[in-house]
Amino acid sequence: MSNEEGTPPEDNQPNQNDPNKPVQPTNNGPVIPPSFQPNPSFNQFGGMAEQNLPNSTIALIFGILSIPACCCYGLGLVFGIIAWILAGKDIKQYKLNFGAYSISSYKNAKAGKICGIIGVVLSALYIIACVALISYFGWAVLRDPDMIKEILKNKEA
Amino acid sequence: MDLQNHNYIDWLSHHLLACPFKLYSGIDCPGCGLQRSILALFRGSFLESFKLYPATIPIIFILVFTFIHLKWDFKFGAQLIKIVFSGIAVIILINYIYKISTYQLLN
Repeated sequence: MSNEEGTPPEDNQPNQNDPNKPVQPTNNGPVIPPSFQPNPSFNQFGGMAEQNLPNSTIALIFGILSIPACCCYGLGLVFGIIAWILAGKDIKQYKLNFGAYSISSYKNAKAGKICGIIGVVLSALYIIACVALISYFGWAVLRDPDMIKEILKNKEA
Repeated sequence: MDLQNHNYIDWLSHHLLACPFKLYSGIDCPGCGLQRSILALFRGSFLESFKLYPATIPIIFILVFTFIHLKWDFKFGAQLIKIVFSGIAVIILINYIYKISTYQLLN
């Protein structure tokens, strides 16, 4: 008798509380708590806005500036290296802590890193070219454009 | 108004930042032509700008697009920036090699 009386209330309770929900067998009792748990967890990790990585924007901007600046007194090298380092830091930070940062800022950091690398390579090529020219012609000749023209003309002839 | 604009551009064209490399050696560096090319854009001639420095238009595009992307956060934004950026690098290199091979460096 006690068993027959105990079971019907369990079946009736969900029907009374949530009339819209389909009736589920009594065995699914333990499943109900997990169905409630995802809500707070969603609020904690998914619902709260993901932070942007701290330096992704600066890294991206510096990385892009490194190309226009590459021919101004070697400034591009500075911009490129800063972008490379900042973006590298951010990428490490993102990989340590997956869920906390937004994917778009991670992509920005990656783009900044690549731009920085390209900028550094271009600036390095430019500086190497400068050094090569100076060592080839000599500083005194480089100060005098006419002498260079003469040397080049002699080479062509 | 139009006259004033022209005056301003003319004034700018006489006050460009001198490239140190060109100043000392008289040889164009890979970035030489950028300012003249931007001025040509201000005057409204895309073709002249492209002839002076082919990478100007992509550079301006990427700068503008980056600010738009940082503001509104496109999904493809970072990818596009990477592609355009490497394109610019290639354009600059090809342009410089072309200049060397056609002896345009000593102007």
